[in-house]
Amino acid sequence: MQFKVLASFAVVLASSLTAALLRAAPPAPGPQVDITSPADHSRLAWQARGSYTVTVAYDGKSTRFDEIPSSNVLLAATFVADTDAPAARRAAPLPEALVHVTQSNCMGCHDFNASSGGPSFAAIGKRYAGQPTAAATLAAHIRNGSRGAWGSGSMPPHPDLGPAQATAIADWILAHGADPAVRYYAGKSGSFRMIAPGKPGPRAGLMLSAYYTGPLKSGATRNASGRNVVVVTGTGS
Amino acid sequence: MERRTFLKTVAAGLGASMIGSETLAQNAPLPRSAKKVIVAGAGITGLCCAYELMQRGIDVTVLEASGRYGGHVYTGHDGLSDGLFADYGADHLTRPGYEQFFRYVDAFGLKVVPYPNAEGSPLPANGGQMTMIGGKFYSETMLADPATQRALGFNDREVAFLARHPWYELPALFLADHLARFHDASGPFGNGCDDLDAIDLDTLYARQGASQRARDYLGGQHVNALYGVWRFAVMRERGIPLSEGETFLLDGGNEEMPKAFAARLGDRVRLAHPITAIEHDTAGVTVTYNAYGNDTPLTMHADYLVNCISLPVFRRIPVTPAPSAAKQYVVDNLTYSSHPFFVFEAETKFWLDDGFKTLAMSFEHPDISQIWVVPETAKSSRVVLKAFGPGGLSPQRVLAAFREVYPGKRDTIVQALTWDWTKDSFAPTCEMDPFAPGTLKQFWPEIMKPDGRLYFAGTYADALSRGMESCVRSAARVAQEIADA
Ligand code: HEC
Repeated sequence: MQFKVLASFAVVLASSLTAALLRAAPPAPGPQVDITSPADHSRLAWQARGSYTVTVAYDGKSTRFDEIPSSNVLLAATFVADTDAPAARRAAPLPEALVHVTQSNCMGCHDFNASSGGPSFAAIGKRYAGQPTAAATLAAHIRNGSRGAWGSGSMPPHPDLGPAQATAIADWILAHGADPAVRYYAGKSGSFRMIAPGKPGPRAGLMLSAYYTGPLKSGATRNASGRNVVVVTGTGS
Repeated sequence: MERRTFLKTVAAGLGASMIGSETLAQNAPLPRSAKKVIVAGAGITGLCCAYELMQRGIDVTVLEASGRYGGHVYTGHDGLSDGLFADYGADHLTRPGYEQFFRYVDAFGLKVVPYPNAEGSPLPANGGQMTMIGGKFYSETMLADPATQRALGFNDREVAFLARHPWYELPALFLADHLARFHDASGPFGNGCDDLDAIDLDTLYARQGASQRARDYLGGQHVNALYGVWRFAVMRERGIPLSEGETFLLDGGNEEMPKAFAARLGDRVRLAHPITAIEHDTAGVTVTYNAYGNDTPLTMHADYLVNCISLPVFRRIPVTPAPSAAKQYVVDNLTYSSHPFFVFEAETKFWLDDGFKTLAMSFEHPDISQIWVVPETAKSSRVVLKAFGPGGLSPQRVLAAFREVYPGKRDTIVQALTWDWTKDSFAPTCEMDPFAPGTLKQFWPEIMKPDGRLYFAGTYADALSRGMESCVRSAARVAQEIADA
């Protein structure tokens, strides 16, 4: 595990570097991300849809005034077996692939779990699951456009994405697009669905975590402050 | 189709609409029914539905999330000179095919302008269209030549057919047997073709002996074959030819129609009033919404709600209790097309200098597939051109592609514009895409049905999804269903 040791050494190095920088200059504050609804610890029936609203303020700009576009906000709804456990509040960091997806125009035609202008990322993930060359094909189709694979519509090329970014997106779609335990919803408001990957226990629910996916000032991180995680307990079954 | 059948269809359509009673309603107001209806979305469907409900004396309110009405019917002036405009969404009307729409045109005193070659329409015949095949341009005369047809790969039967018919009638050659079996076009099933649900239209053409060239021309991959045949049957019943028919636009732009509806609806239309939640039970519907500039949620109660929001946007609104599994399938799986138009302003009709009668060309370039001329409606010597290219491209890239493939010497294009629908959060989609093979049973007839007190109207909620006509037909149908309920 030499790699791991080196990696954690790098982390230590990086954090001591950051610490040094912090002493030198005031920290660049991360985005302020607040889930204003639903309320934390609220309850909602399994299968039902609830509405959510998120506000983001960053670098003097706000979603309130559309200075930050709604497309720069993403909500993840992650199944948690026990909504009271501390783990139910530990949101995973935002996958970098989803930063590219929301900053490009993908969400104008795609949704994560339902069809719109193009197939859902879940349907794409399912169709190509286990095919070793799929990532390369999908990455090429994302960059060069695609037609004839799904229906009568066509997907435009994306010269705005580099090969590494397109590959990251393709990898993410294949590995997580059809993940039954996490669903993503784009936009500062909308609805989420109370869905469990299996039969949920009595303490199960969803952890909603909201992210700012827009551009960052140099050296800044996406680590957000604010009420960016809330937990909703499922009722019924 | 026989004229008798055509008249019957038109008469049946009229029964569903109350346009004619506009003056009547003013002289002797219809008794106010106790019914109250909320219409979700002020696109052309929502406005038309609200208008039809109002004509029936029903208390109606339209809640629209965005700050303008009209949705995907949008006439833009920005960036163009001399008062020129371009329709960035709904492009044209057809005759036949827009019977319900034309009734509103007449009732509201709107004017239509002939719009030949609209969106690549093959009419008028021999109007100077040019088609690129295999990197080479063909005129209509060339394409009608049996030698050309053989060289392109059409088989003998197709060449014989094309001696008597234009290319766009080719589906009739392959689908005649199936269409003959289609006696009831009000739905796809039960016409002796149900097995076609499993395959795509391209496979059916191949089975019926189509050459690869004919299949390339006709398309039909991933298009449910039963849906395809049914569509042709409905078109036959409504007297719609396999060409687009004669094409028109509204004088002043197609947004004149939403404007005409909105003018009559007055303050029944509330802009910037997004719906955030819908609750319903057997007694009625309660909608939570925000009023413009106010974060405090408000509620409104009604007897019925008509959803006229496209389904990908509608599903962002939580509905309690959740729709039936069958309805949820429709909401989650209907696929829409979403394509932009690219609009060029030219100083002159430069193609005349190159000896072309008109600019109606189709290309094989990945960044541009078609270009045509918008008729002059403003007092200007400049002209507006429209082109098809993939969504998300910059207009300059599409213009560069045009300059690569245009067979003339030079152009006088001075402006290139588009409207990026993928960035529109409320009306990003155009029409529904054809159903995929194997899925028609899940969609039909569920797609037409209400879910309790929630009704659904839109381009998809008609037996023939075909532009704004299917919007106004479904709107009038639902208004009548609610009046009768
Ligand atoms: C203008 C609409 C549009 C936009 C914008 C768009 N797509 Fe697509 N996408 C489609 C359509 C339509 C298809 C189906 C194409 C086909 O049948 O080959 C598709 C297909 C795909 C596929 C499957 C391709 C295959 O080979 O099966 C992937 C992956 C994909 N899109 C990812 C993306 C990503 C990532 C973005 C943003 C960078 C994006 N799309 C932007 C419309 C769009």
